[in-house]
Amino acid sequence: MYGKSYALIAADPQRLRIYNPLSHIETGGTLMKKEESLTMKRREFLKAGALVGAAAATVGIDGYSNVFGETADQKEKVFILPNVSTPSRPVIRDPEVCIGCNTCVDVCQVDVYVPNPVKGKPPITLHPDECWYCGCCVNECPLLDKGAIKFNWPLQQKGYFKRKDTGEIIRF
Amino acid sequence: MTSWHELAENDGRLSEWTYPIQYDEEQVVETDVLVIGGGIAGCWAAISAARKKGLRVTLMEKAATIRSGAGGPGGDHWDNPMTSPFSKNDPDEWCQGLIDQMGGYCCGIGREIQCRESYDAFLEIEKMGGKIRDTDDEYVGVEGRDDKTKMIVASRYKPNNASLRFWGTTFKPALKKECERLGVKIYDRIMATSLLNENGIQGARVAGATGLNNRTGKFMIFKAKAIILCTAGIGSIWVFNTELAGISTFRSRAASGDGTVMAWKAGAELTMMEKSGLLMLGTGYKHKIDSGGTDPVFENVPRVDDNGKAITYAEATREAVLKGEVALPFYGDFPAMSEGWRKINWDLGYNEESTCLAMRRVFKEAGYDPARDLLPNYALIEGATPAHFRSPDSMHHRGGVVVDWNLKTTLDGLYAAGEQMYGPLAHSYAASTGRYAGRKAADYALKADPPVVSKDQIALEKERVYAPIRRKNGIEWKELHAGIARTMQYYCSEFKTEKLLNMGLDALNDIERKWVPQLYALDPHKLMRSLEDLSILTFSKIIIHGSLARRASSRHLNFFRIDYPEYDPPEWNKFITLKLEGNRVKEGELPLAYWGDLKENYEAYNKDYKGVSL
Repeated sequence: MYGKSYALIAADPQRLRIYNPLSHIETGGTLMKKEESLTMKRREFLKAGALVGAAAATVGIDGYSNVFGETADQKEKVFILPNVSTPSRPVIRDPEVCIGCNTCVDVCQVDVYVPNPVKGKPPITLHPDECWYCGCCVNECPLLDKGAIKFNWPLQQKGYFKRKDTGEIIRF
Repeated sequence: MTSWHELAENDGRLSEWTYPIQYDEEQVVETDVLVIGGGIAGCWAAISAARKKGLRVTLMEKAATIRSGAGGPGGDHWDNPMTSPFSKNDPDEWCQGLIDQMGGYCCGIGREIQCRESYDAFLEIEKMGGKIRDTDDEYVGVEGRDDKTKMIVASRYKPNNASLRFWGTTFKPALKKECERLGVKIYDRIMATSLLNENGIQGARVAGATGLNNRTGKFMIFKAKAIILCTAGIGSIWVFNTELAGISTFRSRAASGDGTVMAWKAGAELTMMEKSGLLMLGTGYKHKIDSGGTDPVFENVPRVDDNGKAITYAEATREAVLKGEVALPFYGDFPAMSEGWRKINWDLGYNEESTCLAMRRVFKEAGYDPARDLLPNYALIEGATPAHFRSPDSMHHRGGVVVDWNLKTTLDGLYAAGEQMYGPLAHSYAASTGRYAGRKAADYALKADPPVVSKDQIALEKERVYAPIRRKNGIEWKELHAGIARTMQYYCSEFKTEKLLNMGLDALNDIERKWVPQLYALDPHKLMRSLEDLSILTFSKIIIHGSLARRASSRHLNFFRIDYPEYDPPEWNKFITLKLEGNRVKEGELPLAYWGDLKENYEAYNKDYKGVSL
């Protein structure tokens, strides 16, 4: 269903342009790859929907329930939660590849992860703020080559390099 | 669903703690030799002790032995194997040179052991499954590779051949396997919390230790005839951020000086505590060319400025930048290197060095090609932080327990190796001193009486350990950590005077009196972090005591007292020692080179040394 709703946005970029003040939604719609849309989290998507809906109401077009095929009572709950710590994602996992073997949990030097309560699912990143980027979790992953886990430096430590012959700075 | 809040939101409720909660439950383990800390030094100590027939050896490790410790992920250069066939120096003379470099302020005994025995350890680990030779012929023809032995001399300390390359990612699993083969009983995820003196009397023989399972909260009691402290130093004391612990390159947050503090409370003598600063604050150390993966000074990577102008270490200064003589930022010019050296650095060095393997992979995936691309260097553009936190010397030789030629501390039954001594942080140093302490502690254990521990001491420690989980409110470990770090930054960093140091001590005592009784922990993991920060609090106080005791400035100790500005006056060229008597700090001193003649004493204490043991 998320895929379908996403398709609505993507299929009608013209319509999104109506809501131009919310340009970040357009960016979300146009830059997002299909695979990402499939794994896109329901909550994030509905947040975007709510914004579109609010905008729609102000310009007097359809409410978002018509656009997204959901009514307001079906909205996902919002919980009381503290701030997410920094960094929050020392690694990025592919839940389609990870088999939840918990090797990364076993080798982690500072216990950043705990096993997922659902067997076979990727571990939960519980203490991302304690990660010191030793890399053991990534190095030891038996499905590293298949993309189960990927190192992810925090924004303040993202890398770059300079191509010597062109002088181009390449950031990643 | 991989973040905790997704998990909570998905279920609409909080999940229970992953592991069984076993607060207050006790497990008693009796052994002959107990090794505390399962990093490089600890594994070697356990292996070496277990080689003596008929001894039970136990290893207690805060994380998981398979990859724990600063050398757990890997290593790339084996320093000072001065008995190797490539060495161009006499081991004892070379060792003396290393000591002189530090103005005498380092553990000369440990250095001598490294110079004399680290090559033997190097050969031994090959038998355990570690890779020390270019057996795949990847580096044939590269300068430094010996075609006969296939060993590779590292370019650092050239032309003395004082460092050999190795494939360090293979080492830790091999060490763990050897521990298991020799019957060492390994307890992972156990944080040591205290040492137990015989009959509970401070200063008496050490006869046991307590530990906390940092996943379940179970209380561990170890009784041992001999104990070897192989825990980490005090790395995380200078991590000011409560988050982003990853800004410290060489040591994780878990390096909290627990071992030193345990020894202190048990009555052991410490030294050089006034020199316990650490660098490694700043962005991107993991992937910078200086101090991150490798160092151009040692590894022949040319450093260039933004215009491609080659600059030496001495030219890369603030003054030169301000005058416009060199342009920021700087880079490591891998493309300018010969293919062989580049390959050795990038493919071997970066692939095998501790935390660099993951770093190298990220660069590779981003399209980095060392033959075409320059690697960034963040020197100077980070801005200034106190020199105290940046001196490489501070990192390499910090305070620790006083040891003798048996690597025995001033307490009977207690031995030390690796970072625990006031020595350098180096893989081969940790390995060779661990290996040495293991055999000495084993000799002691063979003759020692059974350990007698005190129920009262255990009960008191148990109360201390569990106090934070009895509370549900107050301050948590991160706030405590930041408070201590800030206090040290204000009162015990670049500007030291008696007044400031005393203010610092007072501020730490205030934290201890008012805030520690409010420390709370919600689960066994946070309890571990809380206990670590209690170690850091005590450690910080010892640093201030040491700083107050040295009423002189010293270049070698990177130590400046505004009220005693003269550098290294002769009457202060000595080790300041500190120990606890009851709750009172007792100052003392030891002459520099208290270890006597290196060659003579090494040989006198090691008549039965058999060399490589296979």
